[in-house]
Amino acid sequence: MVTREEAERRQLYDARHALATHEATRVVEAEAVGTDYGNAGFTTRAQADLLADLLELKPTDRLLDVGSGAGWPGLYLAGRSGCSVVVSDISDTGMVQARRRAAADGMSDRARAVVATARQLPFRPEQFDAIVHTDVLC
Amino acid sequence: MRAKLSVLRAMRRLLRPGGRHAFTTIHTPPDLTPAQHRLAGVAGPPAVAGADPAELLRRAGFSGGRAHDVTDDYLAVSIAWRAARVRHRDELRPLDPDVFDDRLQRGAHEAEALRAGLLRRTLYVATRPPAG
Repeated sequence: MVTREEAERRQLYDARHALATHEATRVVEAEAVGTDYGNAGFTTRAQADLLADLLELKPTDRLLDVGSGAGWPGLYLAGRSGCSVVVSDISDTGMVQARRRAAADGMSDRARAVVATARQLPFRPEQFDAIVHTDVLC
Repeated sequence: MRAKLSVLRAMRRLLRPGGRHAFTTIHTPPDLTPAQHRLAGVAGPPAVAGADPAELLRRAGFSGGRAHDVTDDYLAVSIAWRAARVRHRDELRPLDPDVFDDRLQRGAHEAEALRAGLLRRTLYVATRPPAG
């Protein structure tokens, strides 16, 4: 059951992710934060590298990225470490873009994108080796 | 606060014992006055106020928590977003004028609040205890 606040947030994020496909938005993202994932947040590539190091990700790991938007930083972390990843977000549009990015990066066999709220994560217990999220709790 | 704790507890259940958890969050520093809290609430993200994230992590059953202050980077990136948007105003604003104007205004408030020490961004790393 999605709350009214979550439904409003989904609508807002869907609209933002739709804007992220425009060339001007991509240029601004690259200039501001140095990424090309439709990232509109504050996690730079250097911080994503720090997250990967702190999580000590290995190719055998299964990573969950909650509130991943269009796949940042989860897909990047999986690409860097070779682990498998599930990225999740409340935005359908963001998850469609994450699937496209995973396919473009040749990672479809080890990357899944799941539409879900952080409050109701539809996964079995104890199935992830690592969890990451950036600015979801605020 | 209950919602944040509930989300952290759900994440703990999804991790195998010994699993690792890393995240960033934007929050208010301790000891703000009520007036400063209100300003931080306007300038920061919607759920910026509340309990100390390190305390929430502990209450959710994580251990070995370490914190890295990334507030300086947050300010630098906030300024960089605003500057890039201003540079590309002519291409960006026509896409959605309301979103563009809102982001520019929020960016200014955010940088001001950061300079005044009303907001922090911290990177936390913790583990689910092996026997937990």
